[in-house]
Amino acid sequence: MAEPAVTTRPDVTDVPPAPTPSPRRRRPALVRHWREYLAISPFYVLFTAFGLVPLVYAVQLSTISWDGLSDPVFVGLDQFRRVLTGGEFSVALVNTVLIFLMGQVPVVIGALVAAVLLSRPGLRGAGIYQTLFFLPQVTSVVAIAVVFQSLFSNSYGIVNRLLGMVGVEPVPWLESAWGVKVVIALMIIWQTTGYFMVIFLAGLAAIDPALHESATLDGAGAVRRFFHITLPMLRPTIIFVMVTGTISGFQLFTQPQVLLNGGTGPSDSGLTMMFLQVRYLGSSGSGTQVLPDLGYAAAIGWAIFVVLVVVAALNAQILRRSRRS
Amino acid sequence: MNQLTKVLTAAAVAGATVLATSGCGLLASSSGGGGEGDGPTLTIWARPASIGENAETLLAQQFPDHDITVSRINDIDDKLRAGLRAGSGLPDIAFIGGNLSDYFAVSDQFVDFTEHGFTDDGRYVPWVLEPGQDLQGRQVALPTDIGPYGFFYRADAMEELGYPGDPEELAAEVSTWEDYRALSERAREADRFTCDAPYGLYVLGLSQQGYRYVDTDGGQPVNQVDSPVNKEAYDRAATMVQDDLCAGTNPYSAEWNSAIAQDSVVAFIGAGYQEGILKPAAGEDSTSWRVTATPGGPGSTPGSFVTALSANGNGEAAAEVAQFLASPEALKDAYLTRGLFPPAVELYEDPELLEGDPFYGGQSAFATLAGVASGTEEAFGGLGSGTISSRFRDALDEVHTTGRDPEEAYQEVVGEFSDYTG
Repeated sequence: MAEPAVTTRPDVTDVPPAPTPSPRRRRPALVRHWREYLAISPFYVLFTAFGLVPLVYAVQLSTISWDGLSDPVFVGLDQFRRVLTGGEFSVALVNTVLIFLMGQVPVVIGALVAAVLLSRPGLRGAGIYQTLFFLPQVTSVVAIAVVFQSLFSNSYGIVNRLLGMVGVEPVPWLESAWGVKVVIALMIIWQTTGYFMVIFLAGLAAIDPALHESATLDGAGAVRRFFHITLPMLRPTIIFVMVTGTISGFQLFTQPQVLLNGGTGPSDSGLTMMFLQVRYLGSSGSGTQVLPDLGYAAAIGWAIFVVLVVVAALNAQILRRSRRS
Repeated sequence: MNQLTKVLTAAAVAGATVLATSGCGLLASSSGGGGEGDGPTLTIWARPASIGENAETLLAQQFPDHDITVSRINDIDDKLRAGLRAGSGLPDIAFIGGNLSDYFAVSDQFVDFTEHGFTDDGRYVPWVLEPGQDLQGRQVALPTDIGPYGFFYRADAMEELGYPGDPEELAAEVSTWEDYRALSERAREADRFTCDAPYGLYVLGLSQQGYRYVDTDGGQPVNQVDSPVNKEAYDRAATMVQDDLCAGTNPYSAEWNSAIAQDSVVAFIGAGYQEGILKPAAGEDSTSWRVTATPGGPGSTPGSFVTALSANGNGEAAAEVAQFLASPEALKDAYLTRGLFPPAVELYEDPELLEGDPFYGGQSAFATLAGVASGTEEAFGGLGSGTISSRFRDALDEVHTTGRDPEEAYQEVVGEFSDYTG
């Protein structure tokens, strides 16, 4: 009888593991790509320091009433109630929208017309015109405000003097609710038309001249070419101008603040949303007509945020429709 | 690039980022002053217009061992509030303007000058020290300039209206508010104004009574916004507006400058510091303006104060330097270089300051305003005075611009501050 073969199953504990080719131990991504992370870190550091932290702080701030120096008092949601029912914010919102419509809309139309005229081939002195149009953009707002105060002052302003010469009664520009809005809108138009014109000029330069040439050969006139070639081709530029113009228009602050010497004008007619917030921050540049309340200012900030989100959503909607078309 | 170089490069980039983010604070412009030695290192914050131009030189002479930096910054309140909130980044000495009482809530962060050798030895006009005391009576601020009210006018215009051009004679003839109203009515008949804006009349009316919106009773603040004194001053100013006796041009506006330059406003009631805007508006070569006592009696407002903070552990040295900045020597420089009217009575007899000014036809405007400052009994000011009075200014402006009912506008402001006690 054959002796059974003794097979010994090798014990795993006895035998060293086969030398399988193991991959190098992977280090965490943060360590492996530290240079890349370091390269992009400045934005995140700045955003955290000046965006995220203040945002979180603003949430906490909006639940207290605090003049910035004495002990804060917890008020829950009262500051938001004050924003919604106090009346001030609605006045500021309406003012902002009206001044936006009176100032920003003519700016876009005027800048487009100016850009089209200045981009005509063969125009002599185009560079000089472009420079002149852009000059107000690099002029100090304070200097502009002083000039506009002199132009539109009620009893002694040049505009009323000129109106008087042609028999028109003096207009109380800076002493009437509508007058103040008109002057602020004129300041915006005068100052920002050049900036948007430069953007439109860049957009116009990107349009292939062959399109215009072939349309001309087909017998299209200047007006027809403008509406059927220039405008459609400029659509991305127009949308960019609309988005940036809307955001800056809704954040209007400096022009009314310097024009009205820190005041808000008759019947608060120059009070914009940002102006309202700065007033309650107790800032030295905001006049001293209200007692500072950082909590209320924070709540106003959130209200402005909501308004801007709505405006941005509308802009996005227009953008989507435009792309589809 | 070896590993060490990489690490060093990364550290440099990170360092540059940190510097860039905090650069505003680290690289803020400031001008050095004072001597350099073993003494303490002190920082002074002041608005450019609230400290003399030679302050650094005077400090270097007075404190040769100290290392003192004078930072002239416009938005001092914003920075000071932020520093007090954070409890860091504070100066050792700060000049504070008309809103001094706003800081009383944290007055424990300011040193009490009486604990550092200051005594009221009569060097200042008597009414000006009290506004620098907190609610506990600690002397946390010393005065560096004040605003005595004067009646500024054109002598030639007064003579055309049948009034004397001489300051003393005019003061005698227009000594009451009724006299002033009669003068204003006559000026209107000649298509001129002797009132620029109602706010000056209103504040002078309060200053003459030493009024404050919040008073203290047994150490407790008491609201008295709706008081007979306030109402009387408001009504007087509002009536002048309603009767078209004020031009409605507030100082520090282009319209005010035009009204003065075009001889429409030929007189106005204003604080001494308004000379700074009158001269350029009227033309420096003008010789027809004069200044005299105001109708209804003398009145003044406190201006800026110097304070010392203890946060940096230099309270003792800061108090000493601050007291020097409020001394007659430093205040004389502030007047000569910045036109800041001094509260130090010793200077009211200084021949250099009493010299006649060609702009005022050789009259010493300083002597007249010094008489007003000395004659004032109590200062207008206190808790919330800047904020509340500017709301009444808005109300008066609204009566002028929109024809709003003055009583309605008054009650609205009273309602806004009905619970205010600081």
